[in-house]
Amino acid sequence: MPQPLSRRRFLRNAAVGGAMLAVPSVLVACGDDDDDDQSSSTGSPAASETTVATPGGKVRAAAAGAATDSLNVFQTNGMAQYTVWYNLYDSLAYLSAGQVQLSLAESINSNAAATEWTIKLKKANWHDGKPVTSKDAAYSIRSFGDPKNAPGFASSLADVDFAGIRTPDDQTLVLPLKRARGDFIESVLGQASLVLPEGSSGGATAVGSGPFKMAAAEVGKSVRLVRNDDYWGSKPLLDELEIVTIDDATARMNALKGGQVEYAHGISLAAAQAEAANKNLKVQRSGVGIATAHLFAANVAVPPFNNPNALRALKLAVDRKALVNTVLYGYGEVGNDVVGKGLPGYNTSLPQIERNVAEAKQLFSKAGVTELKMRTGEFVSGATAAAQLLVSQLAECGVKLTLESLPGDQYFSDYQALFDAPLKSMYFINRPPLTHLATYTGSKAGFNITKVGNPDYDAKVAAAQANPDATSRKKQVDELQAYLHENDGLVIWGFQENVHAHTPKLTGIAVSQSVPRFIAASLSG
Amino acid sequence: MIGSGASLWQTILRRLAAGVVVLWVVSVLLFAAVTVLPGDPATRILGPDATPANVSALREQLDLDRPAVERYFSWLGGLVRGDAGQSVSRQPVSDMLSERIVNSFALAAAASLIALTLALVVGVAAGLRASQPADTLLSVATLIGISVPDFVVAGLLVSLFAFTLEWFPPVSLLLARQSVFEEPKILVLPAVALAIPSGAWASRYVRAAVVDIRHSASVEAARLAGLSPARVLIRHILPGIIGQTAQVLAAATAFMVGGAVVVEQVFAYPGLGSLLAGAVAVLDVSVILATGLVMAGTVIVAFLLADVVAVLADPRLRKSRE
Repeated sequence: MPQPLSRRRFLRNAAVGGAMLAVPSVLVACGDDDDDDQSSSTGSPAASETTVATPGGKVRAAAAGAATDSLNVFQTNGMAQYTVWYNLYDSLAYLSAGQVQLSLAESINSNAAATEWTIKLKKANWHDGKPVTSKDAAYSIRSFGDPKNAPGFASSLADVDFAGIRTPDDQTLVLPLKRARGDFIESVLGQASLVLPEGSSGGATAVGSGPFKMAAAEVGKSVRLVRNDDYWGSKPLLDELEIVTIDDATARMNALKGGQVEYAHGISLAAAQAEAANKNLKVQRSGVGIATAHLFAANVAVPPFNNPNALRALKLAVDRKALVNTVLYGYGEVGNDVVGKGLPGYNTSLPQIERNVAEAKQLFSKAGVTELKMRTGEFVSGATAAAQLLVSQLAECGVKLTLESLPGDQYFSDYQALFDAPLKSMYFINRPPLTHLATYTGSKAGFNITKVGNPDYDAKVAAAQANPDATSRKKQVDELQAYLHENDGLVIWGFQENVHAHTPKLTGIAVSQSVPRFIAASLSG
Repeated sequence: MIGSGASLWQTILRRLAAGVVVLWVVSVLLFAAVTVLPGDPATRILGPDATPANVSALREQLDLDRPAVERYFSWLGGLVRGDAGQSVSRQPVSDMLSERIVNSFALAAAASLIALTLALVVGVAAGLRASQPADTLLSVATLIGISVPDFVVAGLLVSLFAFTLEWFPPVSLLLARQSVFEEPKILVLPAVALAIPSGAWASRYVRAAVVDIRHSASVEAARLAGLSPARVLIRHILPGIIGQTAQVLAAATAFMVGGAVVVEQVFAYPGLGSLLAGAVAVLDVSVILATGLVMAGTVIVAFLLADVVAVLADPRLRKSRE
């Protein structure tokens, strides 16, 4: 969730990004009724309470969205709609707290070369009683992978050989790939693998296989879901779930405080701090695994940051703790210039970069840097405040920083100017390291904001992606992170947690891939 | 102001025809403004991590590959045939607009009523006490009402009437299949938030009109004839300011149309303002054009109605037409 690269786009990215683990190339479900959501607590108070869950009741959940959103699943572009689809449909697999969870898939196996993946489906029915088949899954993969049909999703499925997809029987789906992908489950299926009935695309009468069924829908207002009593997994507890579209974060919080909704997805950090002592609501923190990485991005291909001394000096000049405490109100953790903190695959052995004013001064001087310019704007909440703090932090290191501020909704309008700028504000959704670096670093990446990478680096990334062995792949990814820690222009000063709020009586909400799942939610608190 | 020589109906028709031309100019300006903004809907929707192939595919789908002029005339041709085009979400724009027009007109009607009441009560009270302490006090109060931004007024109203007194809901929620007429309570706070700045602004013009008319020969004569102050007010002063009040209220409507974009966002009210804000975020040209034209049309009609009211309320203009 825009959202310009605004809240909406940020939320959308968050929904399809997320946490994953370097897993073996065979994954088998623990049982037919595994309660993925309940077990995927994100550390939220709602999910960790020990109250006895009782069935019944209705929950209204507010999430960001707009009247210009679509009820077509393949063109979803708002958190409210994501919340609907992830409670109405099932995925083959999804990511929860960094772990791959199988949902509709009973097992996922690859051949030895990781060039072909076989998915066995669980026995499940659509809400209209018809069985879910491998043909439905094949249709869904093809539809999400078609850039014309699903431009926001297709890139993650680009390695699938769609023409070669096979369905040997109703429960088996075979996906051949154009190249080996040892990380196919966590980097592809775990990100976007909703299964729709063949030929469908959602809509106001969408039929899914998930824990809730469609009852009524109006874009920009709300979507009302009712419990699917015939759900194949653990039965949902709530009678009704209404996903209400409220685009403004303050309005979402007001609706919660005014008793108009029971759950507000995505509230401002200032509001979270202000309401921390309010006994009539609970603030739900996502933990650093579901977070936004805030950063300053230096272009290492142009002066002055093509000089390693200047880059190192910048990394040492930034007071990360002060930025987290001030800009993020403490709702986050300091960064160490590599994306993926709190997620499996993150290289925890890298030394934490600490502020060192004396050394920064010396290195800036050695590189001949006395003045810098930075492109910034409020494209994500807190970016401008962070830039302003950087001005004073660099001044302490003898460097005068001038800010070139742009309106938030125009920040990403001129990509070339953004890429060319030696220094700019930026953010990334916190994804597992391999997913992030395969997408955003290297000479072939479409959005390589720091221009880090070379053919040798690209080859190492490709080798890690292709490696079917989880252990050696982890080692490869660790080495890549060590290289980025030293050479990439990302100065990740903090990871901002996603923060939500709900009434105290509402328990059991699990947030995975930023999307709230209500299968285990109840009004029993 | 509508001329006194022509028949009222002829003049109204002429003004409506001119309004159509104005709307066309507005559509050209809106289209040009959206077109020159950096970026396009494809990049705005897909964000920075989209591959060039995906951006290209979406651009093709959204018909963005054609020259801007061609796209404009294609949209205009559709509009003439009654088709306002499609949103970037592939929904027909007319479907998106229909309910929101009703909602926005309900909000505008409520806000106009409150603004009119505020303008008349405060303006007349200040005008009747011109240069007295009460006038100064009301002048300061209206200045504050005009100066404080819409979103601050909205926040204060929510804090007082939703959270402290708990009289009204803080957010104007409409759920699926719910109409604003089933939940009239949700109109109150956004309507008041819209009405305060415009009503305060209009009250200053009403005050000036009252001060003027108080010194007119007819009011002096009425007073000398021994009519009570209440009768002077009702029979001579109020009828004398109707024309001007209508004009000021039309201008206030224009302010409210602009203010609605902010206020509807703050209250999450499902009207044209919040639709426009969402459309601008993704540069949804068809929605921006359609919403902008409805808003511009509202202002044109408001001024036309104000002129008609002025003619009907002014005996001199009525006589000259007769």
